[in-house]
Amino acid sequence: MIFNLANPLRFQRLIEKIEPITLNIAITLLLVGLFFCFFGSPPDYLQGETVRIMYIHVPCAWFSLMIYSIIALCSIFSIVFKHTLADLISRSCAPIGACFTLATLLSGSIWGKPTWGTWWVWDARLTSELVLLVIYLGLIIINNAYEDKSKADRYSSILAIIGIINLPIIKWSVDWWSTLHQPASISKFSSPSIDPSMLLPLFIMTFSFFFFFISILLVRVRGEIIQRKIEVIRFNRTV
Amino acid sequence: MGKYKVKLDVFKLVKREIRIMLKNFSIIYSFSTFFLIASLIFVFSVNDISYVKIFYKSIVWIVLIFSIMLVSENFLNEDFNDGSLKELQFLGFSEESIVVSKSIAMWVMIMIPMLFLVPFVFVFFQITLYELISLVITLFLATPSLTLISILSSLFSVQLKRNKIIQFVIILPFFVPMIIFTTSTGTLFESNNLKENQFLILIGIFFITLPVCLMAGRLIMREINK
Amino acid sequence: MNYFLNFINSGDHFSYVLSSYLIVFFIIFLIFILSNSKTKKLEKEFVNLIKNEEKK
Repeated sequence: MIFNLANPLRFQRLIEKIEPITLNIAITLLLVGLFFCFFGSPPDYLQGETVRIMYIHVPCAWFSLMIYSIIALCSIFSIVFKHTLADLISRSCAPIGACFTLATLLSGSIWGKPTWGTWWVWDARLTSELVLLVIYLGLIIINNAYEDKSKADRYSSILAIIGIINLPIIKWSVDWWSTLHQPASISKFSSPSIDPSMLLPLFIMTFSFFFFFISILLVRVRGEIIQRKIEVIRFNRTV
Repeated sequence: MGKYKVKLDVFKLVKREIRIMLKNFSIIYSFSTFFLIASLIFVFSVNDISYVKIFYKSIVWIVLIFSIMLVSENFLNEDFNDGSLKELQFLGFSEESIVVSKSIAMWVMIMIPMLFLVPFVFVFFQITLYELISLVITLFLATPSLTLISILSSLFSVQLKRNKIIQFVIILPFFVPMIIFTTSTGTLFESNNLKENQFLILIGIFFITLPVCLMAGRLIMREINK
Repeated sequence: MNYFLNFINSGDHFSYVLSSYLIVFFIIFLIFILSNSKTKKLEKEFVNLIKNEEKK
């Protein structure tokens, strides 16, 4: 089944069918989720109304990590099997991941202002998210730096693999560094378990963001496939 | 037999690299001058000289990272441009041995002279002898991984015609652990317990960086010579 | 509904929450629109190329 879809042309036909469906699901879920965010969930006893930022901040943070692991998986796949579709997916994932990371950082710092009193804390999680953003930016830059597309794909997949090996080390070292500089790191959730009334909008928003991610990814992959086709046509013409 | 051949290969390649380095000695000279002048400029940017005593590790490390990146760029470029990188591969040297030999040569020819420059920093920054010794040990332990990463970054940019600055952008996040553990090492003699200072972690980081850089270097090298 | 009224009357917190929602959705819609427009542009180019090929 997967190898059947691994042909970019067949995949493109599939994309054109799926794309509107995912967008519709995403928007519906978003509206339902927004309803639950503002109407159906109580304020936190400790943080008050600002806890509503959690419903978009946490999904963004999850996806910023998930998209990086997708990129790393596709990179391994593209290096081992040299498959074009993995290249296309990892290339089109990088800007989306950067956007989700940026959204996480911005919404987190807006959340931090009323709860911690500052826009930015050199907490371990915040710092590693920032490093993740820098790595995403590096991936985007390297994707666009080379004139030869296939070369750029290979280089960026190598970089992504180095990144996935190094990210745990960076995370760990930053953890160690921030405990050195700060007496105690601030934990965002004061209670380990969240009330179901808060969990429901969180999950709905997560699924909505997931479908958004899928639909943006599909659009980008379709664009990349078309671009390759254009390049092939141009190449044939010059030959 | 195979192991013996790899050792011999690396030895031959290192000899070649060092011979090339000795021919254009200006790289070592300019690196050392850059290192000294850049750390001096940092001192001028601080109003109170007593701050320098606190920040000397950060200054030395940041200057070192930038100067290494500047040097490593033309380290591979010349070999790539005159085609000897390709030639070495055709001659049957493995990609790993080329990367290793380049980093060994760079470490021997640039990092070791740099260690002799650090005592000047000791005079300028007015740090104590004990602090100086621990600084030199940190440099000695952490520069191998620094060299490997910078060779990797120059491998990334070797085929770029313009916009060489991206090699700094893409590789700088990977220096984060290095910077953290080198600048936070306590002086050797403050804590008698070896576990408390981070020298061991620096050695550990080297043993993680080595295989990663070799693997990535091999992949990039194959891509370059396609 | 009670929750919402309380939320609107929460003053300072309301602006924080609203601005963070706006920023996040702005970023996501921005990437969405950018990728859509890029793909549309490429599609147009592709169709033009195909037409030119057929003329020849």
